[in-house]
Amino acid sequence: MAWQGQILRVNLTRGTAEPEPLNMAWAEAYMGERGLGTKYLWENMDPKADALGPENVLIFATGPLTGTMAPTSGRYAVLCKGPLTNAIACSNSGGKFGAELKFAGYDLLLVEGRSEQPVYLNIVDDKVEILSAAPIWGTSVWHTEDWIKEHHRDPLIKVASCGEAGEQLVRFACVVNDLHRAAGRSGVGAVMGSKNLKAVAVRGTRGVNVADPARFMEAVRDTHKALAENESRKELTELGTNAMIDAMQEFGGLPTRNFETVKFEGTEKINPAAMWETRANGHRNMVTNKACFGCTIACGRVAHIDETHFSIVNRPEYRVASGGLEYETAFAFGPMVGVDDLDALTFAGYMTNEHGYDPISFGGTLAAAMELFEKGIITEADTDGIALNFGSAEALTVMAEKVGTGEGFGAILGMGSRLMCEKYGHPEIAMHVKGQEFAGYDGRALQGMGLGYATSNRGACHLKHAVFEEDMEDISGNGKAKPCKDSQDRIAAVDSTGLCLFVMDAGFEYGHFARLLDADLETEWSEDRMLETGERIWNLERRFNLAAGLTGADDTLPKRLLEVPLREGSAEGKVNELGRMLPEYYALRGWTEDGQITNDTMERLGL
Amino acid sequence: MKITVKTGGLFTRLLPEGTRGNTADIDVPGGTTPLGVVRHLGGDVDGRFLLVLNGKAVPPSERDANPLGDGDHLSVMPPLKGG
Repeated sequence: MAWQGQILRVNLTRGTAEPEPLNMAWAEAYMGERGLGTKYLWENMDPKADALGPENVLIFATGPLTGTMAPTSGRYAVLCKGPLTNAIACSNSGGKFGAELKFAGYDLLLVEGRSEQPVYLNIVDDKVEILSAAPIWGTSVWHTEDWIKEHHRDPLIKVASCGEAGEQLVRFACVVNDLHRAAGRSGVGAVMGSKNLKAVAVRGTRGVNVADPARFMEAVRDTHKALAENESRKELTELGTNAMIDAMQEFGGLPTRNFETVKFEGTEKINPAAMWETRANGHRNMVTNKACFGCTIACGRVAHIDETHFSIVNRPEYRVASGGLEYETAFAFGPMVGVDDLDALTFAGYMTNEHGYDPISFGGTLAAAMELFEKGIITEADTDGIALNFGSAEALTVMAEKVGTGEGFGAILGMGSRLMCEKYGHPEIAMHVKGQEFAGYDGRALQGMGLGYATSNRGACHLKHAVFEEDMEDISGNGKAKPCKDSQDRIAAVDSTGLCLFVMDAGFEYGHFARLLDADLETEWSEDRMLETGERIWNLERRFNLAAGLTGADDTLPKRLLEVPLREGSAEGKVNELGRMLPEYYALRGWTEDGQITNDTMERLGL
Repeated sequence: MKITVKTGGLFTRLLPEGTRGNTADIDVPGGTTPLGVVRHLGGDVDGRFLLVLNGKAVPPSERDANPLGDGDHLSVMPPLKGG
């Protein structure tokens, strides 16, 4: 079977690491990765626990398809209670780490407690060691990975680490694996840092078996073919996700200068065409594209910075090819803060990978700081002498590094926009849901996106629902609740397979997932079972949040999106119609009018 | 009738040969609809894309409904999706 049949439970307080059997009943009910991780989290911690305290539990979960021959099978998820939101955090990542964890013989890694001294886990199949991280504590993700591979004399080790941002409890710190791939959102890296766990190094030599190899490979062949022939897949391969920036600009949904408007005058300086353009001095931003484990899409960008650019002119260590701009980084370092300097954006991206923090939340928090600065609420006396004006490439690059190192105003930015704006007495300037900053889609221009943001269990997020077709068809809130709810359930299941969500826009039909799962696992899987499982997962996440103290009042949007109409774009004059959509959504979910899960719904879903 | 077409993503390949950048002025017959422009350029009209006419998105259900006017500005973009 595709499961290894065991998990690894590590208690950092006691210094123990013990395998235990995978709970197959939970795997049947919650599939894997996001769903299974949520169930293990629910059963192993009190949701009221301090997110940065030893009672929080940190889970690395693979899916039933992780590490198999299925396309994009490198995914794993990191789950815990999130310090940015005080809600459930579930961030998934690609690269090669997830498959390696499975190859080592573990379907899931569960970390409890807190080590007194910095440590890292070294997993080589059955051999698990908790080792001192003293030589790498206080160093970057990039240094940590190099040091571990060198120290253990094995370049094939896969590493997931938390960087200095995680050590310093930056509320939006990531867990970064394979240098450039990250479980990026909600501050899972800060939880890792709070446990004094610097890194997980893993080397596995086992294969992954499937229940019906012949039928599985037939499904693999068909899904590869679907990806190969699909136009959106070709676009992802050639242009990456940043192809979206031109579309959002034309539609008029590109959040600009902290949601002041939805069109950015500098888009053409930071779009894929600009990344591919060869300049007069011969420099071109793009180097090549890159794939995660088992992926035939290869949407990842590898770029480099012009050596004459101010950010690296005296920094030869950054004259290297590294992770390039994707849509969300381009949005967060570009329109959101008003900067159109491609090299400055690329440098900021390097900082987020090197030091381990979420570019979306960083961009949103810096944008809020810029608005505070331009309104005179904070001054250069607060910001280490840096003028935080919208459009300042210097402010972007300097603050990107300061967040990473925790220096000066960087430590304030590391609080995230909600806590930072509360500190300065202007919470209305923070653009967030449940404490987490928005992705690059304005919820006034895309009503279904706004509803999805408001109801997302991990705070503002663009990846937990998909209402784009309906949002393009109709700019009103009409008919958005059902596709929002249905897509949340659909995606919760996909996030639990071990495959990448991007295949859904690149040729996969929903039935492709079911075919792969059905051949992968002993029990029967169908589209209907996937949807039912997705709904169960969504409701368990909700139950965790309610138990943590969140209420229906947290399913909301900032006043700017609810009360200030757009002044341009396709949805000119619109605000988000959440007040109309939310009751319809709650009813479809089988929840009460104030967002509590009813007993009937709990019973129906086996909760 | 002359209109201006702006493209994004791989749709830029639909622009006339010799076009520099992602925008071109093209001649289309009177009565051409937004979807007709995609057809005129050789694009797959059954594919997924976003059309924006004079700064406002054209709902998919209305793409083939109303003819363009002289001087209109049409954007042919990748469909909106998560990135």
